[in-house]
Amino acid sequence: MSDQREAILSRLVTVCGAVAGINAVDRNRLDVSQMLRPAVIVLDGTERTITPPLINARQASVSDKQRMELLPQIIIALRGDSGGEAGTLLTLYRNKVLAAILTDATLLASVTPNGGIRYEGCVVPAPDAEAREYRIDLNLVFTYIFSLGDL
Amino acid sequence: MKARQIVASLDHALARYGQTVTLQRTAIDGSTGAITVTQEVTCPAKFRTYFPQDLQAGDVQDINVILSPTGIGAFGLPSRDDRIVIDGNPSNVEQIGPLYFDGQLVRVNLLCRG
Repeated sequence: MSDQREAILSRLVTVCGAVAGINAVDRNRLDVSQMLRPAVIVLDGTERTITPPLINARQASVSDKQRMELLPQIIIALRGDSGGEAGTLLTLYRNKVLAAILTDATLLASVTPNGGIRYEGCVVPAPDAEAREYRIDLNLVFTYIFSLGDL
Repeated sequence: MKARQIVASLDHALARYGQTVTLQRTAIDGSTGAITVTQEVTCPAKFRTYFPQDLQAGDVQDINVILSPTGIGAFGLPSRDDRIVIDGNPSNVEQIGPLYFDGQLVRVNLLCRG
């Protein structure tokens, strides 16, 4: 078995990079090299437990299995000529990237059993004045089983 | 000192100590977001990368660029999000600082990122 967290994050990069129209993808960077656009940047984000560790006398004294949530940040960066056109493009790539992630068989397999992928919305940060660079941040939650044996 | 003397002095310095860069103005395909270059000019410039924290940022860094109005010519004053290609690497123009003397443009400072 492999670490589920790493398997999900690695696959996310692959899936986002394969979306039609995306020219660059990178992980844990402030931006992609050569400022290629449209681009996706995957930040590893937060991993947290959603079940308390089993540490009472009748259970194991270490967390050998527990349900986890992984909250990576997926940033889509692109350029637009005007606010309206940028909005249309942001929506276009939001839809494409979300559809790719939520239907990817490998990602879905990474969160079974007892897990899932949940889309929790998106944020478009206010652009700088006169800028033509726009971003949209997608928030997804991956629920999966952490297993000590996978480490 | 007159404006043209300042420009001539800058031109001389850029010719002697600068490197060639290409400024690009771009357009966006509204259906795909693809970028095309609509106008460009090649000119001498002096540039310097800086900010030690960029060592951790990987491939993207901030670049300080000095241009002469002689070099940019008909391209005109660069605007926000124009691009500048330095050693084959495109960077984004983030800030434009034109300097005027006696009402004439004598120098253009750019802060670029890429």
